[in-house]
Order: sequence, then C-alpha cells, then structure tokens
Amino acid sequence: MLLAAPRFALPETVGEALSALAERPDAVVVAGGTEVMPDLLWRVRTAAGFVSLRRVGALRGTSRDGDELVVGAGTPVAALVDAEAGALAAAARSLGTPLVRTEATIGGNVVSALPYRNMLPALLALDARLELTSDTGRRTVAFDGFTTAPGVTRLGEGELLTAVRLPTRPCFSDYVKIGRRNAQYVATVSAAVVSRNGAVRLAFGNAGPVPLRSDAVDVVATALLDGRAGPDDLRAAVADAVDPPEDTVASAAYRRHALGVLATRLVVRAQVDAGLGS
Amino acid sequence: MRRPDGQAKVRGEFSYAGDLHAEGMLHGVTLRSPHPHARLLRIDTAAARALPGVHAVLTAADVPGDLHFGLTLRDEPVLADGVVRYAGEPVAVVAAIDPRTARRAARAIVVEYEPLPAQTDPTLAADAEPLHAEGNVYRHLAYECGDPRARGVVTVENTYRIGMQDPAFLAPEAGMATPTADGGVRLEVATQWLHSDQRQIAWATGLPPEKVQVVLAGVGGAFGGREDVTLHTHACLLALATGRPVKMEYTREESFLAHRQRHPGTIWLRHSADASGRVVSVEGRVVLDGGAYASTSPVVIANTVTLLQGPYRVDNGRFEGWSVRTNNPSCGAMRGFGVPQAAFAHESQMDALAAALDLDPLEIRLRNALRRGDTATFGQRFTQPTPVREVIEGLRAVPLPPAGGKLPGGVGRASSPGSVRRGVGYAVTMKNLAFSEGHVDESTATVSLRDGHATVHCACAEVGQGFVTVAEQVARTVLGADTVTVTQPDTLIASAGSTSASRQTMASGTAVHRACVAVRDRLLARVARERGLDAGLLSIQDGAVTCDGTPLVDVAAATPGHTVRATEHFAHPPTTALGQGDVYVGFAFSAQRAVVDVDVELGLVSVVQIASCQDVGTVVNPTQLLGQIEGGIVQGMGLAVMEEVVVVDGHITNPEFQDYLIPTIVDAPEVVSVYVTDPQPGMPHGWKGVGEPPLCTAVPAVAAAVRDATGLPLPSVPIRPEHIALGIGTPPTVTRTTPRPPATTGGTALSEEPADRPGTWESEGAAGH
Ligand SMILES: Cc1cc2nc3c(=O)[nH]c(=O)nc-3n(C[C@H](O)[C@H](O)[C@H](O)COP(=O)(O)OP(=O)(O)OC[C@H]3O[C@@H](n4cnc5c(N)ncnc54)[C@H](O)[C@@H]3O)c2cc1C
Repeated sequence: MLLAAPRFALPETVGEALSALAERPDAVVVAGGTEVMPDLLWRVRTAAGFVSLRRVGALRGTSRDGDELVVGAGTPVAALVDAEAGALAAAARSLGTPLVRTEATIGGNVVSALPYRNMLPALLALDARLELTSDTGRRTVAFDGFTTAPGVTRLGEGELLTAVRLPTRPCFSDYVKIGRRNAQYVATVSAAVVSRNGAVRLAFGNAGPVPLRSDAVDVVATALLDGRAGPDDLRAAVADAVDPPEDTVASAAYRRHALGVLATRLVVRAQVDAGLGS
Repeated sequence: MRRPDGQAKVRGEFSYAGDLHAEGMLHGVTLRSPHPHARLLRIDTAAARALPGVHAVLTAADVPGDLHFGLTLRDEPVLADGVVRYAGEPVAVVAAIDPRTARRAARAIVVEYEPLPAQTDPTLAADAEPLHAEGNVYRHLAYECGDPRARGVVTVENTYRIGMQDPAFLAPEAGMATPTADGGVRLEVATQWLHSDQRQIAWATGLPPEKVQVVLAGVGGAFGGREDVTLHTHACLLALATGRPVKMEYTREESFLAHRQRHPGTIWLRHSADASGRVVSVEGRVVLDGGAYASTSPVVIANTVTLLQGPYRVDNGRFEGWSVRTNNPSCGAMRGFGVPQAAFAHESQMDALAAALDLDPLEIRLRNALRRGDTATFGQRFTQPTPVREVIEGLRAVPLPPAGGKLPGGVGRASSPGSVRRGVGYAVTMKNLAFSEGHVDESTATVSLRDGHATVHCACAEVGQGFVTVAEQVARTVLGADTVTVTQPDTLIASAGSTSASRQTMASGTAVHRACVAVRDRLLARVARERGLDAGLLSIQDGAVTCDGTPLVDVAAATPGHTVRATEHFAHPPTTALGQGDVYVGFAFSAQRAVVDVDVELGLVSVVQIASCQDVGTVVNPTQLLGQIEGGIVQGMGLAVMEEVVVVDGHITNPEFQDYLIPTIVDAPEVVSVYVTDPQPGMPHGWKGVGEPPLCTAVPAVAAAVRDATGLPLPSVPIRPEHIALGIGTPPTVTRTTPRPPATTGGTALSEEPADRPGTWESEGAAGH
C-alpha cells in the first residue's frame, strides 16, 4: 500500500540517485527506512515518491583516505559496532535492536538530525566531516553546525549525504546514553568524549535542540583530565552550557544533572585510558 | 505435556484476531474525539457517506437498541451522545471497502465540538460539577473494625502514588462481525469474556442475546484490557447495517486510547505498631481515578480498600475509598485488579514501621502474618489455608545471588561497577481470587469422548494463560484420552465468566474436571454393563480401563464408535456484599525478594533477581506456572520502574511503544520461583489461582529494593530516574505515640457517609492524635 504510493526509484549509483532526485524534487530519500517508514505509518510525514539508496553500492562500507576514515552514508549501523573509534562503536551497539541496526544507516541517523539520535554526539566529539554530493559536485562540511534545529540540516535541495569522514589520529573515545529502560530506548540524554594528546572534547545528545558541544566545557574537561579541576567544576560548566528539553520523559533539571554526571564519568574513563586515573 | 497452541505461536502460524478474513468483507474504522471533554454541536456525515466505497457511517442516532453499555453502571454510550468525556471516545464508525477508504471517510465526517473544561484531577472530582447524569463518584466505601484510634508506640504515615499502567498486550484489538441468516450477527473477536460481550452487543443492537453469537478469535494477550467492550459492538452494528462481514482492527495508538488501563491512585496510610512490631491499627484512604466511564471502577475500589491491610492481622482500623469519574482515560480491569496499588502502599508502610522500630523487614512481616482462623478487617474469616508464614519462610530459604551481573543502564553503558549500589527488598501480599461481593463465579463445560479422543467445549477465553493446556491435561488424566481437542470458545455453551481474577483454572478447570469425571463414570458404567462387571471396581489408569488394578481394555477401544458426553457446571460458594460475610471466594499469598543494582547518581536501576515463594495450592503444570510467575514479575517490575501512561490535560502523551516502555529481556530479572502447596479445599487437586499475585508482589518488592539501595523514601511508582538522582519524594512521617489500647474489639461496621472528602488529606495532620 505504501509502495503503491507515487513514484519509486531504485538507483544503483550515486549519479543515478542524484538524477532520480532531480526528476522527483518532492520524493523522500530512503536509506534503511527505519525513520521514514515509522514516520509514514504515524502520519507525521507524507511522501510524493521515494528514492531508495538501498542498491547504491558505493554508499556502503568504509575505506581510508589519508588520515581519514570514510564511512559510506549507506553503511548499516550493524557494520559499525566494532569500529575502531570507541564512541562510534558504542553509539552503534546501543542503537535500537539487532533488526533495526541491520537496516538503519549512519547517513539516515545523521540526516534525521534529532538531538537524541545515537550517532550525533559521537560524530560531534570525533570532529567528523560530512561529504555532501549534488549534481553540481561535492562539498565537505564540518558535522559541527550541520544540524540547525531538530530535524533540520544544512543539506541542500537535491543533495545527498554520501559519506562521513572521521580523523584516524589515535585517541580515546567513548559514548554513553541513558533512558528509562536498559535496551532499545531513545536517549533521555547522551554524551561522547574524545581525548587526544591530553585534550578532551565532549559532545552531548538531547542537551539542546541540536547536538551540542562547547569550548568552555572542554577547557574544564581537559583540566579535570590532568587534575587541575574537580568533577564539580565540570558539572557546573556542563550545567551552564546545556539547554535540555523538559518533557514527560524527564525534567530539564534531571537532564542537566545527568549530563554533568555523564561528562565526568567519560573524562574519568579517558583518564583511566591515559593511565592518569585509577 | 506441551501447550497445544505453543508450536503455532512460536512459528508465527497461530491465527490471531488480526488475521481474520472473509470474502467480501468491509473494513471498519472509528472516528474519535480529540477533546477530553466537549459538547457535540453537530455531526455531518453526508460527505463521508458520499465517498465511493463507503457502505455505512454510523453515529449515536443509528444505534437501534440501547445506547448505553458497561460492565457495571451502563453509563457509556456506544457512540458519543451529545457530550464526549475523554480524548479518544468513539463518535462515529465507518465501514468501507478497504481501510484506506474507511479512514478517508472518517476524516470527511464533520464534527463541531464546543470544548468544555476537562476535569482531570481525581481528588477534586467528587465535589466538582457532575460530568454525567450518574454523577462523579463511581463508588464510595468506608468501614471500621475494632477501635481505629488504638495506638502503639510508633505511628507512621505517608501518601503513596501509583501511576496508570497499560495492559500493553501485543496484539491490538481486532474482530470481525458477520450477519447471520436469522437476522442476527456473529462476532469473532479477541476477548476475555464472550458472554459479557454478547449481552452488551445485544443491548445495543436490540437483538435477543441468542441472535448474537460471539466466538473467540486468537488473542494476543489481554491482562484485563479486553474485559470491556471496545470495537465489538461497532463491528456488529456495521455488519448489520451493511449486510456484509466487517472487520475492525485498532492501531497501536487507538488501542491505548480505547482499552481500559490500570487505575492510577493516591493512597494515604497510617500504621501504628507496638514495640515488638505488631500492628495495632491501620487507617487508610484511597482515591482511584476511574476516568470517563465506570467500567469496573466500583469493584476495583473495593479490592484496593479492603486489601490495604495486606496479609497481616489487623484488629483495629478504618478504611475509606472513592473511585471517581474524570475526563481522563477510562480505567478498569488489569491484572491485580486494584491490589497492586494497595500492595505498594501497605508494603511501603511495613518497611517504614520496620525501620522505625529497627526490625528486620521479614521479621516484622512474620510477627504480623495472618493465620488461618483470623478475621479480616472487612469481617471475613480466613477459613482456608492461609500460609503467610510459610511463603515468607520459603522465600527466606532462597540464597541471595552473587554480586555482579548486568549493570544499570544496560546497553547505554553509563554505569560502571563503582557507581552502583545493591539493594534488597521484600514484599508479601494477599490477593483475592475469583469474583467477589456476590458476583456469581461459575463455569460450564461439555466433554465428549469417542474412541479415545476427547473434545472439550467451554466458553473460557484462552488469552495466553494456558487454559487449553489445563483442559487437555485434565482430559488426559481423568479420561485416559490419547488426543484432546479444546474447541474454540463460543456462546453456544453457558458462560464461563471472564478470564480474569486468577479464576479460570478454578472455575473452568473445575467444570472441565467435573465433566470429565461424569464422562468417565458413564464410560465405566457402560463397560461394566457390557462385560458384566461391578462398575465400582473399574477405573481408568494410563489410558486403559482397569478392573481392580488389572488392565481390561484401552480407553480408545473400550466402546468403539460410541460417544460419551457430559455437561457439568461449577460455581464457587456464593459471596456476599461487603460487611455481610464472605466477600471473597479465596485468597492467595505471595512473598518476593528483589535484588537490584542502582546507579544512584543517574537514577538507573537493574533488577538483578527476584525470588518468589507463592501459595499455589498445587502445581498443575510447572512450565505454565513459572510462566505466570515470571510474566507477573516482569509486568510488576515494569510498573515499579518504567511503565506509565502519561496523561496531560486528559490526553495520553505516549500511546505507543516508543514512549510507553515495557521491560525488554535485558531488563527482565532472573526469577527464582518456589512454592507452598497447601491444597485449596473444594478444588480438584487443591488447585488455586496463580496469575495475579506475582505482579502484586513485584511492585512493592522492587520499590523496597531500590529504597534499600538508595536510602530514599520513593513513595511513588513508577520510580523515575529523577526521583532517585534528584531525591524526589516525601518520607513517611514517623511519630512516637503514647500507646492506647483499643476501646472496643471485633466487628466490622460499614459507614454510609463519607468520613471526609478526598483531597483533604493534608488536614489529616500528624499521626499522634
Ligand atoms: C525500533 C526502532 C528503534 C530505534 N532505535 C534507535 C536508537 O536507539 N537510536 C537512534 O539513534 N535511532 C534509533 N532509531 C531510529 C533509526 O533507526 C536511526 O535513526 C537510523 O540510523 C536511521 O537510518 P535509516 O537508514 O533507516 O534512515 P531512513 O529512514 O532511511 O532515513 C532517515 C532520514 O534521512 C534521510 N536520508 C537517509 N539517507 C540519506 C542520505 N544518504 N542523504 C540524504 N538524506 C538521507 C531520509 O530522507 C530521511 O529523512 C530506531 C528506529 C526504530 C524503528
């Protein structure tokens, strides 16, 4: 019934996908469909056609390009559960269920742009770059700033996310999320850390309308890493930096508190990894 | 023995109500009110009717019979009548050639509403402007026993809150109605109580009940949520209006809106005890939010109020409760039927008393444990086995689990062993079994046997609990049958009552047992007659007719080609209205110990293990019994730590499984289950109901364990992470009191007038007076 809806394109190359999109400006791009299909069922989205990326082989899989890891946007989350970057692997492992991870793609997660989605804080902490392709060419932008509001990105009309690029320089990284049960849940809040050469970079999920990080927080986090600041300092810095939602799942006060706890714990893990802590 | 429907269910081949299909069937959909309270100014169905493919559009004006239905008060319109009283109330129904057309037609119905203020605070409902001609109080009850003002050396009081739990069965409501040649209608539907549906459909259609046939379709879980009529009458009205089969199937969201939830409640309790921990008096008040229509609210409140004493001897007390009407979703039956609310409150109080007196939590419970021969606060004597001490001792013998295990927060990995504290909590509960307060609890079964094949016909709805297994087991055991068919339940046989109240093994199991015994006796009489033997010497053993212990002939070959049939009825001894004798048929007792790991800073909980010792009469089927214990425990821990229908201004904010969270297998604890088997008098093999107690006990047990880990009072369930992390919740008030012996003893007195209005508990003041 859903597929009987208007036009459906099943391109096999990025080029074909772009032309299919150009011919159907109102069509919805579908990768794994684990966002799109529930949205259609719940009628929070309508579609005047679909361009499926399922058969675009070039969008799947990872490769090295200099000092960057290139993750095809159509790579299923299940393929990332053992990724070298700990934050990426942890975000992948705790996404949905095995069935969902098999279909869900990293690109779909990024373009969904919902602040509680798993991959976003991990990519922000890892300082990922996004490769965007349109029929006028390819541009690479920082992931930081790509999401402008819940569900809204800087992706242009007729443009596809083709890859996510991650620096491969060695680092410690990790990701944690919390919710009201112990598996298969939307993050009440989440956080990711990258610690490289004594500098800490933190990023937060559902801490505001878009994935969030702050220089001020990272300064204190770095100070905590090498013992120049205490956990309370970091909690205070996080509490200042975040602007979490208040909803029926949790209060903003709880989210603020929990984000501080998660930040501190991640820095402690980084300390342990660096042999600095206990 | 294997579950007869097990393989099909595991393989995905079982036919559920959602799989119903008939040639030429139409699809029915429901238009629902978006407002929790509004006047219906105008309904215009012309555009909807005009759409091609639409066969019928019905509103209240099209209901041929009595517009009102309900399990107790008959206060609910089949389709909204002038006023809508909850968000999601059915306003019109449509039948069309496919679901899409039907939905489009429903959207084309023009309804003009005048929104009215929504009364959503149950504590204010009793005194508020009536929302219905029947008033806002479904039931108020109040009674005293002994001297409620008696005091011991310590008195604790607190107010406890229980959230709204959804039955969250996996298969949304579905059914198909087909007009019959005699002008009646046949409904195949996933339900818990065929004859109740039949009666209520007959009211609305104006048909005599015998022209309304109800047949059970495959049920994907129920838990009380299918005890009330939802789409049943609508499908029948549409089938009768169109002359075609009409199938209806709810979406998940509709399912949340349409079926009854567990009553959310507020319970104030004051316990006073002497220095040894013996309870001297208990006072309690309850307000349950019944939502827009009565359903079983008048009955549920009696369970909550009367069982506030828990499985303890309480000689002095006063108890009062209201179930009230609001513009919130209607609440009704759900596994435990008012008792989980009471259990959470009284067990929290027992722990508060134990803490105030520095007693071990099990010790204080043992000192107060009910015994056979004691009298309940509501006047009923415990004349049957009352193994409260035994379940506590049985629980105590189960070793504690080792440290470690899955961390709180699960896959999110936010916790590490260093951030976690372990807690251990105990709870003991009493659950009434079967129907109560004069409602007849009965069932009927027909059993036939031919060439070793038994057929069992009974109107007992199989909703997953395993009646089909019990029936087959009984037929095999009593009749020596090689094969058994349990036919699909229908209304061609007398009522079996609802599959609820932990009652079907007792009621329908016993009816089947009686019918099997009657068939056996007829078979043996025939064999005796044919062979010139004394029937008194014959019996059935291991599939053979034996004479004085010597096998004569296989049951299958005993009377070739001949069918032996019997229909038998069973009814429990009658119960009475509150205050007039035995209110309840019987009771089951259960003790649990929960072990939890809590990440206190983040408020995350991992329920590591729950050990259970339950009074089960006898173990009928070990696998199914464990299934009930495990399932009840998981559903109870769900209520304790995550499950809550969040209603804001009369609207359910989480009517789907992304935000209404039920435990996953990662959340489910290890369950260790042991039993006390003290046979229930009057029941074959001494069996008794087992399905509800594990849920009732798990709620307070898990809460107690989380309190033990955190040191927090946690007076509300579900416990939210922020309750723990931010320390939200008022502790009990503990007062050292001057002992005051009871001025009078014994007796239960009902009071007609409310002692006070709900919502004035603040004025209850300190405990000492
Ligand atoms: C049961 C269940 C559990 C879930 N649990 C989680 C969870 O725990 N954490 C979590 O973060 N998410 C969860 N999700 C959401 C979802 O699975 C993820 O966000 C997933 O990564 C989306 O990927 P997809 O390929 O399925 O996206 P799709 O549904 O195919 O697309 C999502 C959006 O991205 C767009 N899009 C996709 N690919 C591209 C591209 N290459 N270029 C441009 N636009 C594109 C689509 O047009 C659409 O707007 C869950 C979903 C379900 C159904």
